Amino acid sequence: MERLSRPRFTDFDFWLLGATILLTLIGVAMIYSATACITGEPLDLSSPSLRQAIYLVVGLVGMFVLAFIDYRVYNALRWPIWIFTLGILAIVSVIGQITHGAQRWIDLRIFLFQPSELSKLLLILVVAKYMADHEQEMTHWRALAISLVFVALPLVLVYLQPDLGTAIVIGTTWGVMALAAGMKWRDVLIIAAIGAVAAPLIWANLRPYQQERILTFLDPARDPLGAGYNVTQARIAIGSGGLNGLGFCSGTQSQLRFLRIRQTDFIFSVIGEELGFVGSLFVIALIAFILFRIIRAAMMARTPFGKLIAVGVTAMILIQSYVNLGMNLGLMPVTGIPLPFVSSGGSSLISLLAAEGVVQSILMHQRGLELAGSGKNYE
Amino acid sequence: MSAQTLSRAPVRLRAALIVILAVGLVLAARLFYWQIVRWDDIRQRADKEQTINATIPARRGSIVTSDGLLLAEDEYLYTIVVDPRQITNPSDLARQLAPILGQSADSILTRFKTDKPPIILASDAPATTGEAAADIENQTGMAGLAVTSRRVRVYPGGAFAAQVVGFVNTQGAAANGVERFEDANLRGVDGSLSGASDALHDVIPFDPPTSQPAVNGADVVLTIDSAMQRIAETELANGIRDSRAQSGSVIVLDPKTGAILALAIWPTADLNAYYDPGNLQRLVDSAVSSEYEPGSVFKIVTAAAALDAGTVTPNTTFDDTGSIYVGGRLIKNHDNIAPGRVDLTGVLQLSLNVEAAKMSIGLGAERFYQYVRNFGFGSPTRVELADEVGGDVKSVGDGRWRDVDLATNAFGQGISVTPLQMISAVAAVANNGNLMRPYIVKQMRYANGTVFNTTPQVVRPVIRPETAQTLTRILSNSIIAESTNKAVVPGYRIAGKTGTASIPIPGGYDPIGTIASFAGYLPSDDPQFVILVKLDRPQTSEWGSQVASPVFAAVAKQLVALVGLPPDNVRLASK
Repeated sequence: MERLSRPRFTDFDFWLLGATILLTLIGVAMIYSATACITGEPLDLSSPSLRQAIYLVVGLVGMFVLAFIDYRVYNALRWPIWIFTLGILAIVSVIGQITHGAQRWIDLRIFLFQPSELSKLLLILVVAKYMADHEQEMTHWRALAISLVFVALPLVLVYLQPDLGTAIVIGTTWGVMALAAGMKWRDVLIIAAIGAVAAPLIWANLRPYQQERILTFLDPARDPLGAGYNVTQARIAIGSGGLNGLGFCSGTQSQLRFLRIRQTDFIFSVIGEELGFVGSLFVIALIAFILFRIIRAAMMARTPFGKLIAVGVTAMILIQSYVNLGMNLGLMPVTGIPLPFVSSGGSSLISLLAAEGVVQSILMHQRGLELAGSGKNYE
Repeated sequence: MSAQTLSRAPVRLRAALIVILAVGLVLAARLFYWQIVRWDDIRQRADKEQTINATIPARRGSIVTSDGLLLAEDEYLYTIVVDPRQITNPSDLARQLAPILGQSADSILTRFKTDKPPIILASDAPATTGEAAADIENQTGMAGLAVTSRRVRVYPGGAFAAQVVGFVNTQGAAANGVERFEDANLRGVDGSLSGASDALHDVIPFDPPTSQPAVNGADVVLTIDSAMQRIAETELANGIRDSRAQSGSVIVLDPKTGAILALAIWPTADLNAYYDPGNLQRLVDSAVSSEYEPGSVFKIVTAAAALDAGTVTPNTTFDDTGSIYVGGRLIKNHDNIAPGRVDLTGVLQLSLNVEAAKMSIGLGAERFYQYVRNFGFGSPTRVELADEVGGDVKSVGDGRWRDVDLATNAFGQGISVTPLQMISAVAAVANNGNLMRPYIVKQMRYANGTVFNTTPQVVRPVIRPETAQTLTRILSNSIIAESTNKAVVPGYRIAGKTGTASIPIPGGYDPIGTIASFAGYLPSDDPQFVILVKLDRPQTSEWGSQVASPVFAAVAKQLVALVGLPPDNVRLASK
């Protein structure tokens, strides 16, 4: 077992923390605009905006706790973590709440817990551990395939919920981590080729609504009041925002409910309409800044494990952001992927803050290694 | 090994920075395109979407008989559609919908899970179901449950008085009868609403909407009495069955006012199935929209004219030789009879064509046609029924009229009339010589509470009252004189005349088939009902006296029983 070290608080990344809090607070405000502003109902514990603020506080506490725990403890916990992940995903498919035709939530009384959100972080830890241990072998097929097995089983469970979006995020995160771990470009091409061959097979196995979403993405006018409705409304909302936006709580498409699922999947359309080009660009820039700070952590990490965790977290946030923003901007098909830190939803926000907690832990425990490191595993 | 792989990593991490930057730039470019480049037209699109210009449909008025039987009304039918993908709590919704739809919550929930959305839970459901579902929709907000309604015109009477009522098709266009004639009143005026709208298409209070409320259509009360209509329809159907006629009509009129108490057409059809190909023709109101040559019933008009002009008196003696040449054409009596010396009663009893011709010739074309037109022939009666035609009366010098027409028109040949014109003319004789405008709309009840009652309207006095009374007595005697007359109603003196007319076809008359009819009224001293029976192409006998007269008697007997009119001896004794 590796030796653990004491955290160095001076290495805590306050820029990352500040940007995260700012982005989440923008999210809270926009959720307020997308819900309470429209209904005019007073805030209470069932209000999405107030709940999001509470999740932020809970998540920040969790983040600090995780930041002070040496991330290397997870080294030893790979198997329990993996089995726990499979367990929560299996439970949801048995006792989960069915909403909008999908079974993704477990009712925890005070809030609906979405295991697939947490599973993304947990799988990053598991995969990072395996890849770190087999770093030298990642150029070989065997290690690559085994690391994929860690991901594939939970991925199938997520896909069956059905939650195609999360499945894509998990799969792609694995790919980015494999690349960072030294996967050969040749192998990337081979996987891409297999994917291209498998695509028709996958298409045939998609649910009709999933096929519909992809077709709608390719041509939104195909069914403007059906599946294309949200895409069209998002375009109208964002487009009518203009340079400076229509103002907080004043976006007509949002406030008049033309936009649906506006506090979650289409929160960015509300931002686009009410905060305009300036506000939207600021949100994108904040996300990019957060990603830069986590990449920085990856670069500073002194263990392959830490490096790969940071890479995995970066990939997860980047992919989710791109899929969600791309969907809002008509660049990606409609999937139920929330915008990290911004979309309403406790499972997503708390999981993301936890992930940042692990990243902070990587930063805070890097120097200790230099003192404690035996040099056995590290350069 | 370790050194080799890890040395590659920083390069790839730096590449990640570039990827993040590139992704950000792509998104920013897209934002720029939508929010800056395309801002103007997208903004316009939003404005368009947020403005609603809605029509508030007016309710179409109902049509009822004078005794309140509902014949036509607007009804709402509801469709309930569910999209379970948008529903947060499907089992709760299923539980709420179950009692409304009369299905079990489990079966609804099963449909939510298995059926392909959108799931149509009910279509064309009645108002009670639809409104209950709409309440749930309003409670739960927009997502997933949609209740829509459509307005349909329903005809509770089915085929009852079908040609009088008419129908409105699914596009809202009215056809036939009162529906068509009073369309503007029944339809009302649609309201309009314009203002800011939300995605629910509810008008929202951002801007006060400008609205013009709908004015619902007027309800129409007919002069038709449902009991009399039923009598007319039943006896017409019996008459058709007994005579094996092709078609026919029975009209009952109040001679004092011109109110149409019953108007039956056979064959008929259910108004709710107007669209069946065979039904369209059956629903045409042939009492006003088609013409026929009335035959000897028209002798009432000729006799009235001659008596009123004084060219003939009740005591005039006619010497009938069985034929007469007019304009080079030979005119003969039916069955070639030549009864010799007869008076006017005999002329009408025996229905002598030759003597009718002599009467019109005696009047001269100018006076004869003046009377004919004064009786309303050649122009529409202005009854409140759609598609009325005016009949065809030739006139001297119109290029079609020949000398022989003056003679043949006297016994109802070569002149075309509508059944309603014919009965109105007979009613004028029953009404002391005053021609009334026949009417079928008794009352119009407007949405604002205004009630308009139709006032009986004298079109013109056609003959003097004394002439009318004299002719009534003669017509009555002509029936009494014939002991086997099938029109006789025991206990009541009736006045009337049969008719048996050839049917004109291009180039002459159809050698087979007649239109058999009877027009009459009772009681003759104080007429309450005028009845016209018309049977087209009867098979058992071609004569009006054989097939139409019994129908008249059957209708008349039931009418006097219905209104409790005492027999003549009782009634006159009490005077």
